[in-house]
Amino acid sequence: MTFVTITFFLFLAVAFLCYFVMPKQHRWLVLLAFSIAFYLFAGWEKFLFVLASALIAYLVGRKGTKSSLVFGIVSIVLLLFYAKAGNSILAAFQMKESIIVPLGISYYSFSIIGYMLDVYYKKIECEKNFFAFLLYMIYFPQILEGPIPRYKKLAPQLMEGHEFSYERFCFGAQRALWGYFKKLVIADRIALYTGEVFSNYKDYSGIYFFVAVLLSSLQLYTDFSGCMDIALGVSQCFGITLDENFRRPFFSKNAAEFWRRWHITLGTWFKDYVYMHLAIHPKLLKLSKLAKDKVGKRFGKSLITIIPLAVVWLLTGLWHGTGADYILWGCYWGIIIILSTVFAKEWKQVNQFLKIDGNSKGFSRFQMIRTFFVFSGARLLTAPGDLKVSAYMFRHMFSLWSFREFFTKGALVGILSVWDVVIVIIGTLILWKVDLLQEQGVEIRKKIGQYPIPLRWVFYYGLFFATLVFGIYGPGYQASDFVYIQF
Amino acid sequence: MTNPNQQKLNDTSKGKLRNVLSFFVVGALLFALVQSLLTPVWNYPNSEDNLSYSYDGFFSSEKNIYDVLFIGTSHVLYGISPMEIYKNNQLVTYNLGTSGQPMDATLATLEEAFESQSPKVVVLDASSLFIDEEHELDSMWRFVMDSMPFGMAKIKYAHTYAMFFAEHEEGFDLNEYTQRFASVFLPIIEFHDRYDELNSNDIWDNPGLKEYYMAGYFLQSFHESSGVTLDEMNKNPVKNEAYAKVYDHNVEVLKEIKRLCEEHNAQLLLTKIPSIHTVKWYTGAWTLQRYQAAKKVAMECDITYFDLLYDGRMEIDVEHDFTDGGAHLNYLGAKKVSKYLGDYLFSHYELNKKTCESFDNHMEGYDTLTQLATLQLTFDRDDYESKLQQFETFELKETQKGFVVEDSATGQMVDKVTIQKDGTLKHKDGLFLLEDYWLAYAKEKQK
Repeated sequence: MTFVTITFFLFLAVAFLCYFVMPKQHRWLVLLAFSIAFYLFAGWEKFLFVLASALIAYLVGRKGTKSSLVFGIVSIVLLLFYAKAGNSILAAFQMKESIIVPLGISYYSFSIIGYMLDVYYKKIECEKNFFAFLLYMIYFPQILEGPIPRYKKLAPQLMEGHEFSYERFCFGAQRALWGYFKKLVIADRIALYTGEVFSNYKDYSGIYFFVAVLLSSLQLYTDFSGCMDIALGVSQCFGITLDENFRRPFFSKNAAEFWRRWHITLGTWFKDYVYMHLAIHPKLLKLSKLAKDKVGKRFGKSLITIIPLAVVWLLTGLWHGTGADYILWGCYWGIIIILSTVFAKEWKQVNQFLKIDGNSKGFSRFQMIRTFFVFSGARLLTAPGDLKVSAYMFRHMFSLWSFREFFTKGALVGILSVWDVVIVIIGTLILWKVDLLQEQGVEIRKKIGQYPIPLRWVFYYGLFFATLVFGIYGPGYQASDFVYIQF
Repeated sequence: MTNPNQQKLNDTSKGKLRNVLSFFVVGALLFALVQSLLTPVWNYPNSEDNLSYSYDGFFSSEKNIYDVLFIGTSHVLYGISPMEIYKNNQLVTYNLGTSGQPMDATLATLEEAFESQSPKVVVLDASSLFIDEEHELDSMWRFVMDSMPFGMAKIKYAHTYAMFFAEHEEGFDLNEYTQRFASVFLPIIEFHDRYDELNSNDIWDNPGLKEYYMAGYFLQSFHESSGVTLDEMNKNPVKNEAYAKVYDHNVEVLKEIKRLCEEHNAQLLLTKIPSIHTVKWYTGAWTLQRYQAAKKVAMECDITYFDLLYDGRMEIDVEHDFTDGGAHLNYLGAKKVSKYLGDYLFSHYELNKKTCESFDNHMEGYDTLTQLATLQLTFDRDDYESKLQQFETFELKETQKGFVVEDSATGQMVDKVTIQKDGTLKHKDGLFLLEDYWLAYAKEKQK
């Protein structure tokens, strides 16, 4: 069951009803029951995996020793590796069977590894109630695509038993609706185009590829951030605040900033549990000192940045997938971020030499566009699903540009209709305006809430009916899964 | 005495509740408006898109008026004209055929039909027996379902429809089931993407509809010869076993239909409207293999089977009686089948002649329309010109390759003809011209 099904709406309605009817102290049990039910929809076999992982992490937390921690992390990582690489390994041995991949394994694995480390380093108390721990792990709004939670912040909220709040419920519903708009109206409409071009790439070339890659960036953003809006909105209705996973990433001026705004909970997880540990590791400090002495001060100092970043980006690539495309994708980002960090001084000098005002509006815009293209370059590596296809598309991207064909029989009639193109453009403009206002610090839902009722309702009805009418769904459509579910 | 703060709080809560209720009431009204705008009304007289209109016509008919119901696939829809039968035999009948109608849809329609009608005979076209699951499209189910009035039969049908699409080899797909089931009662789920095809017919009633009356029959005035004769069609038996396979599920539903008919004292007649085509191009072509398979099933189920081609040996002109190369009958073919079947029903079943006000009231319009259809299906120039005399206002104008005929009363073209090398006439755009002519006629009548 994904968020874009009628079954989910019915499920959610019953969940809300049960939650707010139940006495406060038992409300967490409702969340647990519905989270288990949500998971069981994906298959009971998958639930056995999640149960085993929960048991391991719970017991490691209770024990709190170094050996148990190592055992716990190794077990969870092995399970994660099994889920990520299992099918590829079977395929390499030409076996037709496929393995069971537990729902949301990448997300819950990281959340429980974080939990085990926090307990071990005594940042938090271990959870004594196994079922409470299980709820933290599989809380249903976040199980599909995260955000990756931190035990300290989420667990107490889950156990609290929140009162019904009209305002909070309205705000939550509005946010979820905005997420549906992004997913159904923009992302899934773009998916019609990108899906066609990536699947039948031999039939296309030039501008088709260029547009497909750029649109796939927008598709991924609206898809993933749409899912996050739904997850956070639904949670808000229950009174639970999940961590933000996006902060207008396409306003970033460089790659490092982009990753502080995109999939934030994954970035902070790697920062807290990998980067920081490596950066202050005695062996690295020793190596840095040695390099300072032998090669030079700057190189030695840079090693403290380069090595942890290289490890983090390799792992980030592996987290997304064990195929060559994702490893290359990790290297791509790693190299860009390392180069921009290590040579920050030189970049500045180049700007000064070229007499570029680093603070000017124009340059800021250029930087944002550049970051978008850097991101799209990374999409080219992974979106087609096969590196050979990526290479083919790259080779043919700069040839056979026929605008006339593209805007007549190609894109408009062949893949997307004129209506589809207009809807994508209008939808994107609305999205851009909303992101811009948020970037300027405007709290849009609050602002709309202050308008007179008729105007306020125009916004709500407008968003609802735009999603209802222009959304891609219904019998005959294969409801496309959220992209990040696969990770 | 009430605390002023408490009073203020109560007032605020009341105001909030009022706002919430108003929000949902206004939202529900808007929802209903948007949904009704986007849901197709099939507001076109005499086209395949008039299906729900014809069903509406049936479900809003006077109670217990029809003595015979014809039901099944497009072969029935194109092939039987109740008005023609009424003219010939004075039997009051209705055609409930729809394109690719699955057996489950037939059963559901009959369940609903028996609620308001008590037909003595139900005539089912045997081609439904061969519709396999792989070829059942969403629209085939929805043609019937979208027009059925809300009731138990519709709920049951919606369940069958949703189950059909939700059960896969991999298991049951709950999401698919919920979506399909909900879409029957909230059609916006199915039709929300019609925003780009809305036209005036979606908003206003088509003036032609008020006068249009075909009792479910779809009048086709286009002609395309069948490429083969009956003997040629049967010359090389089809080797693919699936071609003449009657699916177990269809047999089960057939038995259910029989039980339902018996329960309502109606006799079930399994028949077959002619379809003579090359099997390679049209798998619905009715060969001897299918005939034998259908007959066998009918015998096993103890159902009367009368095949118009193989049992009845009725004369079908493969050159002129088909509309699309032998798959479906045009008006010439339908006229013959209606006559033949009407006579057969009258002589084999205890059916009484009777008069029907709505049929009588619409006979003039029916005759007007069929006269033009007959003209558009005339292939000899002399014959054509003699038939043209029936129309006082029609004027023939020669063109380079043939001629066109215009109605001087309305200025509309009613036929466009090219003369072929052998001297025969070839008509173009018949159906569209027929509809335009009908609209003009209906408007005039309403004045």
